Amino acid sequence: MHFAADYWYVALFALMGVIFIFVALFLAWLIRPHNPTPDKLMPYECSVRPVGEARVQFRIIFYLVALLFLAFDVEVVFLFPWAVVLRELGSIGLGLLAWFDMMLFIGILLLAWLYAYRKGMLDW
Amino acid sequence: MDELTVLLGYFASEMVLAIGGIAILVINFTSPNVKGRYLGYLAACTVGVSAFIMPWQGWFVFEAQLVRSTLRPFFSFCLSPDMYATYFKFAIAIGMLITILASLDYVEARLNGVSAELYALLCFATLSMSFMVSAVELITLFLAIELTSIASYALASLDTSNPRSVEAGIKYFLTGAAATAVSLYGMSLIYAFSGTTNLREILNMQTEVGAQFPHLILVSLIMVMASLGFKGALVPFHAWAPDTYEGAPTPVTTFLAAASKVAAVGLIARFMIYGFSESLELWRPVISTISALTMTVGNLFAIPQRNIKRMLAYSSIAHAGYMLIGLAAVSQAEIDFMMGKGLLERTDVAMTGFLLYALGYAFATGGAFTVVLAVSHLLGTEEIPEYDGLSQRMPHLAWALTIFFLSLIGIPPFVGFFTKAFVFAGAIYSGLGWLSIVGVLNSVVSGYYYLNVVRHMFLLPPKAQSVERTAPSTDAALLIALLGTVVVGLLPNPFLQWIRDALNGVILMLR
Amino acid sequence: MHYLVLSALLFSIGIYGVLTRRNAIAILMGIELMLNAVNLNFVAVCASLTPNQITGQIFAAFVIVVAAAEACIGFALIIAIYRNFAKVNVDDINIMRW
Repeated sequence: MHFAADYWYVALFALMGVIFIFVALFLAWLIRPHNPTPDKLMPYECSVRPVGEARVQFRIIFYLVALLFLAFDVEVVFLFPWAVVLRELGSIGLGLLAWFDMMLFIGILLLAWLYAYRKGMLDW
Repeated sequence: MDELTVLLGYFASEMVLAIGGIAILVINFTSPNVKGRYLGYLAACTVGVSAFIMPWQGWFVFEAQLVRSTLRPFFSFCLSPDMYATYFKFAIAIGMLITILASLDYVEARLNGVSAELYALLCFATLSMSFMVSAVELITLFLAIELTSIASYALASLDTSNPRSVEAGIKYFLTGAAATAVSLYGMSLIYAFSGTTNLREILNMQTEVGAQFPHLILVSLIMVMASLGFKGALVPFHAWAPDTYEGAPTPVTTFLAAASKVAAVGLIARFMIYGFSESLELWRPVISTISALTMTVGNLFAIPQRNIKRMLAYSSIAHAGYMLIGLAAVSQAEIDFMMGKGLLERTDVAMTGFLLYALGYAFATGGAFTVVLAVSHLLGTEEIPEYDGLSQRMPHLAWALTIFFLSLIGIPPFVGFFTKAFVFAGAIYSGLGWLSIVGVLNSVVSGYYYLNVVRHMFLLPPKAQSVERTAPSTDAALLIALLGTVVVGLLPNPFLQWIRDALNGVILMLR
Repeated sequence: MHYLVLSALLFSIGIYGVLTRRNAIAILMGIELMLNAVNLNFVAVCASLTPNQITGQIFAAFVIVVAAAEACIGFALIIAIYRNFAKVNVDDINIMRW
């Protein structure tokens, strides 16, 4: 199988990548100055002193919006194949039907979105 | 008939349900001031209308198939709205109608903030259960089960401020999601050996595959049974049922017991017979073992319960077991009849009993839960000792509950007697005598805990003297359930004829 | 064939996670692993057995979407659990016992 041979390039590439990291770190360790100060050892937070702990509690609304996003985002799985075959369907006379079906689907999603909106899930 | 007529005729009740459910949500968010009770009436109308349409829909499909068998909706290869499906859809819709009517007061008092969601989800659940019993293809089957499950998870945990409801929801959800994943793996195995997801083609592949790898078929069937059995609360997969039934809001418990279970057994029977009847001898032992276990465990665990919802939960587990006797005892002649060949003999009563059991069970359990809902709403309790002297305080509830329990035990004038007689006779004719002995013994055991409640209601003195009046909607639900329990028991013949057509109708869609 | 072995392994890891973990979110992750094993199975079988049909791929797409919907319900439930019980460990969520 010539596929197997192709995979050797990938393996070689991965190996080179790993080696490169160590070589670069080693060279940097050789030539860099070593002078730690407390400021330098702090976690980097846009170059100002960090406030509070790294583990902060988010407001629950982020979580809810993420859930909503998850639900609506995955529907694209259905949109994508539809978009791919729509032209073909059009050429055999089913274009209008397919278009109408998808509009129905999106319309129902739109109702769901309106429901979430009116129930205040998107209010901050 | 043009294409649109066929589409409307084939899926009329489903469209009514979908539009009704969406309408409830839209009304709720466009005008939040509409009272939850009116949304409940709308839901009851939706389900009622669809229940009324369903038998005619079955005849329409029947006629349409006779006239022009080529003209059918383009997705009829995944959903088959045949007479078998419409029979089960009718049973489901009746169960849902009783549920909605019975829960109007309860919801107004306890769940007013989420009544729109509750009624809409009940409509969507009815819709997806109709899909469950008409699915003839694995993707559709999976989607229908999942749609029902997701609606049920949301329904069970709808009372989010009540820890018991949330606990019921999470237990239901985690077991359900795991069961779904297992059964999906089973479906992927079926797809792997047959190369198709259509049950009909899977059936055709089976003789060939079964000769080479019988264990592959058995393993994949058992894995698929995980999620079907989970929905029907059959015994190895029943652990969620008592907690969920007890913790979920009572209207939801009614829905789970009266409708969801009927849909699950309808789906199991169609899946096994329509897709795997060539491997009958492989799955017959599995189904009969599950059936015996389900009956026994359900009845034995029901005895010590003090909470009536929990008791009815175990009793409904047991009834799924009785129903499965009918499937386990299916004879070759019946399978041939369902495949459109030959006729039924006098001894081929197992599947007839199975279908009649589903309807009788929906009526009796829906009715029993109606009484539980009314008592829970008026007296605020679900403990059996609090039912003391109910015959003096609310005699019609006490008498109705007695009738439903007698039907569930299997006492003659009521429908439960005929259903049990049919499935037990079917088991004996198919050489599964031991299963019918287990069934009869279980019925005797079940008499104990049912009659215990009757004893509390009639023989023990009431703890309070107040007399409450039930709402007209509750009375309507009781009336439907009573009519079903008594009329189907006294005049079973038209229903038996319908069932015969339903069994024969499974096929018409296949040609 | 290798895909089937891989997916069986993935499925077993998922089941192991579901059965041993006590954190509701970890159980959910196990379930997602099982679903992905199923997807792998469907796509692999579809590609090797019936290259001209896309039934398996359609099934996989539906599984993905349903898994997302299920995850939504699951996480919403876990939020509700956290608000009521202040923990997400399934062993501690047992008001109801028979």
